Amino acid sequence: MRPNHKPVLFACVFGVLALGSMPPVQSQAKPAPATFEKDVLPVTAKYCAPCHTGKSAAGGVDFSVLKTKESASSQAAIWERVVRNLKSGAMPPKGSPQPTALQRTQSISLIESALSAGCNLNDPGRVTLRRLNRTEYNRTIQDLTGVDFRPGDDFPSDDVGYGFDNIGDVLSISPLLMEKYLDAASTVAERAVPVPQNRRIPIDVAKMGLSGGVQAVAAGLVYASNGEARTTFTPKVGGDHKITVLAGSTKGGPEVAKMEVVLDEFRIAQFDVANPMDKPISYTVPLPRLERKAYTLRIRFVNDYYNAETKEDRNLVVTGVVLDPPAPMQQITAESRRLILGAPPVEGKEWETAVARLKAFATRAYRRPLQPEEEERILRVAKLVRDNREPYEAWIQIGVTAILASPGFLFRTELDPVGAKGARGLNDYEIASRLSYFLWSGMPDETLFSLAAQGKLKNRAVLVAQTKRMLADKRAFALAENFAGQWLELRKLNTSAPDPTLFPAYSPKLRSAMQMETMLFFDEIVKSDRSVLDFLSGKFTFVNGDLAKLYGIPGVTGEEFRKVALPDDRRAGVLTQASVLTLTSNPTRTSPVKRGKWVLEQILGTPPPPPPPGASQLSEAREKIVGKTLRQRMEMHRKDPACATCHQRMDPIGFGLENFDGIGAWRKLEGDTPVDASGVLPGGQKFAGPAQLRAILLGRKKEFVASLAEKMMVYATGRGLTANDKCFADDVRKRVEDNQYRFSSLIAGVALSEPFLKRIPEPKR
Amino acid sequence: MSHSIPRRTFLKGIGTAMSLPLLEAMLPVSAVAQAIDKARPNRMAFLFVPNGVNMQHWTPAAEGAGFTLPHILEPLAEVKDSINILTGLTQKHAFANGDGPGDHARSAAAWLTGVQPKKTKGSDIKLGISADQLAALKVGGRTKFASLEIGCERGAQAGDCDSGYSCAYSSSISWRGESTPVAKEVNPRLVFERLFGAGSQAEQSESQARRDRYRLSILDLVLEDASRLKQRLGIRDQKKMDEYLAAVREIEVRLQRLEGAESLAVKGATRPTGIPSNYGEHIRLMGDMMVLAFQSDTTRVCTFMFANEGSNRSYREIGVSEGHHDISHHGRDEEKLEKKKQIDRFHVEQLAYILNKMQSIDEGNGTLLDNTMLVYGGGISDGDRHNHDDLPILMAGKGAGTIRTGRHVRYSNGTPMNNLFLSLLDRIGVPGETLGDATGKLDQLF
Repeated sequence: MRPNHKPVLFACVFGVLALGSMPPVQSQAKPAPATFEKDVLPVTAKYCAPCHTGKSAAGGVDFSVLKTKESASSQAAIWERVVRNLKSGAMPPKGSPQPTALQRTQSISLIESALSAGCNLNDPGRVTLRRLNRTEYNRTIQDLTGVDFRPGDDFPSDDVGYGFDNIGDVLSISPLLMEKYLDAASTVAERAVPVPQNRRIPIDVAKMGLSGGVQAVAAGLVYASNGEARTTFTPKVGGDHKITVLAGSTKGGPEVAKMEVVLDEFRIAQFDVANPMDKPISYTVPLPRLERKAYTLRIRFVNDYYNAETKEDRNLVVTGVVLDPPAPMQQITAESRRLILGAPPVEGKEWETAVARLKAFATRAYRRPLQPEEEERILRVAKLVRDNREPYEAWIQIGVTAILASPGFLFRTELDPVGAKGARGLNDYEIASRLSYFLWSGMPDETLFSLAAQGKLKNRAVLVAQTKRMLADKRAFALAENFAGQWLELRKLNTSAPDPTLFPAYSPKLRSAMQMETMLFFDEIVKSDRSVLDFLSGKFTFVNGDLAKLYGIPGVTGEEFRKVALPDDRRAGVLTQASVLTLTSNPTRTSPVKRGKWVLEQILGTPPPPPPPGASQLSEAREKIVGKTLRQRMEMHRKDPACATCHQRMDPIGFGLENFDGIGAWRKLEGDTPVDASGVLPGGQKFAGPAQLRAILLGRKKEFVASLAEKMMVYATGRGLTANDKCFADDVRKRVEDNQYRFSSLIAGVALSEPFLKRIPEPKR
Repeated sequence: MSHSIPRRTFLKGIGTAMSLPLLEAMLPVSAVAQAIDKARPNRMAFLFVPNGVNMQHWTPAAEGAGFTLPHILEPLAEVKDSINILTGLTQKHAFANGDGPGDHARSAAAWLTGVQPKKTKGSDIKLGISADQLAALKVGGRTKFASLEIGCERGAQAGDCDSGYSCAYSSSISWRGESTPVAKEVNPRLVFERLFGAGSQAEQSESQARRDRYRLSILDLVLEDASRLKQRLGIRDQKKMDEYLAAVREIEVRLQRLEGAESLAVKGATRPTGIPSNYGEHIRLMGDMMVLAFQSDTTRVCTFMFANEGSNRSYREIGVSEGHHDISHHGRDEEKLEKKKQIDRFHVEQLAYILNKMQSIDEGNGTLLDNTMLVYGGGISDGDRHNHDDLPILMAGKGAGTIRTGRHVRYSNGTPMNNLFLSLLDRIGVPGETLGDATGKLDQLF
C-alpha cells in the first residue's frame, strides 16, 4: 500500500455509498454454480485483506474474522458494509488493485444471499423498559385526565439515541426528573380533581352587637325575648355568598320560634326554628351578588312567648354564624369529570364509589389490568386520606397523584411471564400500547382498550385495520411532529441561526413556518396514503404567506397554510423544502457538504464516517488566497487524499442544491457568479440542477425505502437495530414495494413485524 | 406479598409528630450545618465550556505569581488574586484510544469522570461516576440538595450527536453512576423554584398543605410498586427500575431531612421569569442561581455547562455569526482563530461576573469565593486538533483556606485531571489516594 493512501483508508473505508455508481448486476449463467467459498472469499482475501487485517486493520475492519461463510451471520454488520462498498465502488480505493467487474457483481450477489440466509427469524430482539418521554408524557396526561396542560415541557430533555428520543436504553431517570414527576402528578391531579376548598368565614357571635332580649353566653346567643344581634362584614370577593346560621329553640305556645335574617334593613329570610336548642341545625340563606363593600347582618328573634302559669317559654338560641364565599374559580371540566371523578357518589356509598373510580383510572393509567397488590396500595393511600376526614374529592385526588407518580404509569412495562423462554408474542394490552405510542405518541384509546380486552389485537387483519384507523385520526399528526421531526432533523432548526444581515427574511416566525410546511407535507402523505416516494418527488407543498414569498409563489397571504401545486421543477419533495435547506446550511452560507451528508444519512441511510481527527473543515485562509468560488475551493479540498473518498460522495449532491441559498430561497447568482448546480457522482454519473439530482435519487429508491423502513422500525420499537433486525426491516421494504409504495404499507409492515409484536424475555438477576 | 402498613404511612396518617430517634438525617438543615460545620463550609463547582480554547491567548507566559493575564483571561483582573491557572493537565481517556472519531462526546464524558466512555449510540451507555457526584455522595447529605446541575443548552433534539456516541455523553458532565447522567436544568426560573419553592400563593396553600401531608405516603407506594416490578424484570430493565428507586429514595431522604426546617430563601433574591434571549444574560442568570444556592447553603456541589460539547451556537452578541464548532475548526486560519479568541473571552467575561459576585458576598470568615473551589475549563485543548492534553483549566477560590491562589502553575504535560480531583475531593471531605488514572494528588495547590 502506498503510504499516502493510508489516511484515505482510515478516514473513509467503510460505510460510504456512492451515488450513481455501478448498479448491481445479476450473476450470469455459468457452468459451475458460484459459491461463497469459491467466488467471494478468495476475492476479498486478495483485494480487501491486505489493508484490512490484524490490529492495525484499516478502518478497524478486520477480514481475518471474515474467512468463512458462517461469518455472514456472525459478522453480518461488517459484511453489509462490504456489500455497500463493493456496490458503490468506494472499495477498493482508487489506485489499489481492483477486482474484475464479474468478480465484483458475483461477490455482491453471493454475499447478499448469504446475509439473508443468516437471518434468524426466531429472534425478535428486546427493547429495554421505556419510560414515557416528554412528548408521550404530555399526550398521555391529556388523554388520561382531560386536563389541557403540558407539564413535560418543563422536564429535562430526553437524550437521543439512534436518532430518536424514544429509545429505552437512553431514557434515564434522575432525581431532578423524579421531582418533576412528583410535582406534575400533584398539579395534574389538583386540576383534574379539584377539591372544593373550605373557605368559610366564621363570624364570632360573641362579638356581635346586641339589643333587646338577647345575651351572649359560652354556647352562643340566647334570645330570652325578642331581640337582635348584628355584625358588619366586607366580602373579600364579589359574587354569590351564603349565610348559614346554626340555631335551635325551646318550645312554648302555639307557634315555633321565628328567626329573621336581615341584610342592610332587608329581611331576606324568616325561618321556623323547631329543633331543640341542644341540637342546633343549619339554616342557610343565599346572598346573591354581594359586592366588596360593608354589609350589616342582623339575626332577629321576633315571636317571643312566655306563659308565667304554665312556664311555657319560647326562646331562640344561635350557636354559630358562617359566611360562605362563592365557589372557587377552579372548576372541574366535563371531560375530567367523565374520565376520573364521575357523578357524585350516593350517600353511604362514598367509599365503594371511590374504589371503583380509582381502579378504573389506574387501569387506564397503567394501560393494562391492575395487579391485585397495586390496587391494594392505591386504596391504602386513598383510605388514609378518607380517615383523615378529608372531603371525598381529596380521596380521589391523592389516589390519582399516587398513580401518576408510580412506575406503572411512567414506564411502558412489558412483563414477561415467569419462566418464559424463547420469543413470546406480546399480549393484547402490550400491543395496544405499542401501536398507540408508535402512531400517536400517546396512550391507547377506548377502541384499542376494548379490542385488547376482547383479545382481538393479535389478529393480523384487526391489527392492520387498526393501523389504518389510527393513521386517519388527527392524533397521527404525532408522526409528523415526532418521527419526521427527528428523521428529517426538523428539530435542529430550533437552534439554527442564519445571519440576519445576510438573510433578513429569516425570523422565528419563518422558521416555524418552515417546520410546519414539512410536517404538513409529511402528514398529507400519511393522511392520503400516498407513495413514500413522494417524500423525494411530491410536486406539491403547503405554504403560508411568509413561505410563499420566500418561494416566489404568488397569491398566498396570511398565516394560514394551504396546499399548493409546485409550478416548476425547481422544487419537489422534502429535499428542496426551506426547512431542510436551512438546517443543512451554515449561518453565513450554504454548505454543500452538510447537504450532501444529510442526503446520504437521512435519505439513503448510508452516512459517511466522521472526518478523521485533525482534519479541519474547509479552510477559509486557503479560500482567500485562491479567491475562487466555493465550488472551486472545495474541489481543491478534495484533491487532498485524506478528504477525497468521502467528499467525492457528499459534495456533488450538495452542489446540485446550490440554487437554494442558506435559507432555501431560489438563486441564480452566488455573489456575482452564476450558480453552477452541476455535479459528477463517483460512478461518473452527471447531472445539473435539483430536478436531475432528484431523478438520480429516485433511481435509488430501493436504498431510500430500506433506509426509511429501518428508521421507522427504530422509532416504533424504541431500540437500535441489530444486524438480524435488518432482515425484518428488509421484509418491510418488500411489503412497501409490493404495495405501490403506499405509506400505510410501511406502517402495516412495521406493525406486523416480529420485533414489533414479539420479544425475548431476558434472564433475571 | 406483605400486607403490613408501612410505619410512616401510619405515622403520617394519624398526624402525629415524628417520634423516631433523632437521626442526623432528620435534623433541620441549619442545625445539621451548625453541628457539622464547626469549620467553614467548602463548596465545589465545575464550569464547562466546549470546543477547546484558543490556547495562545489563554496560557500565561510567566509562571508563579508574577504572570500577566492573557487576552482571554483579562476580564478576571478583579479576582486575579483568587485564581490559579493550571497548565498541563490532561484527560487521557478523552483520546480515541482505538475508538476512532468522537472527541467532543468523549471529552465531555471523560472530563469529570476520568473514564473512557463506551462508544455506543445508546444501547449500552457506560461511563463512571463523576468527581462532583463523589463529593455529593459525601457532603450532599448536609444540604437540601446533594448537588445542582445546570446549563444553558438542552440536550440535542435530533440526530446523531458525535460520530456514533450517544447524545448523553456530549450534554452531561455529571454522572451518578456508570449509565446514569444527571439531567441538568436550563431554565433559571425552574432552578429558582426548585431551590426556593414556587412562592406561596394563598390560593394554593390548602392544596400545597395536602401535597405535603401525603407526599411521603405516595413515595412509599411508588417505592413498593417499583420494588415489586423490579423482581419481574430482566437485568437491563432492572437497571432502569434502579434509577427510579434511587431517585425516589433521594427525594425521600431530602423530605425527611427538611421536615420542620425553615425556608432557605436568601434576602433580596429575585425569581427569574424564564430563559433570557441574550446568551450572556442567560449564563449570568444561571450563575446567579449557583451563587444563591451556595450562599443559602442549599447545596455545596454544582456543575454548570455553559454549552454542550460540540455546540454550534452563534455569538451574535459579539458579532460572530458562524457556529462555535465550525469556528473551532480553525485550520490555523487567522480570522477564525480571532473569532475563537473572542468567543473564549466572552465566556470568561461571564465567568468574571460570577466570580466577582462570589467575591462580593461576605460570609464572616471570608467571602463566598474564598470558601469555594471552582474549576473552569473544558476537555478539549485545541478545537482543531481535538487534543485532550494541555487542557484549559483554571481554578478560582481558596477552598476555605486550603488553596493558595494568584498563580500560574505549570505541571508536566500529561498530568492527569484526576490528580486535581483527588486533591479537591480531599478538601471537601472525601479522602482517597486513588481515582482512575490519578498518579497522586496535585502538588503546588497550597
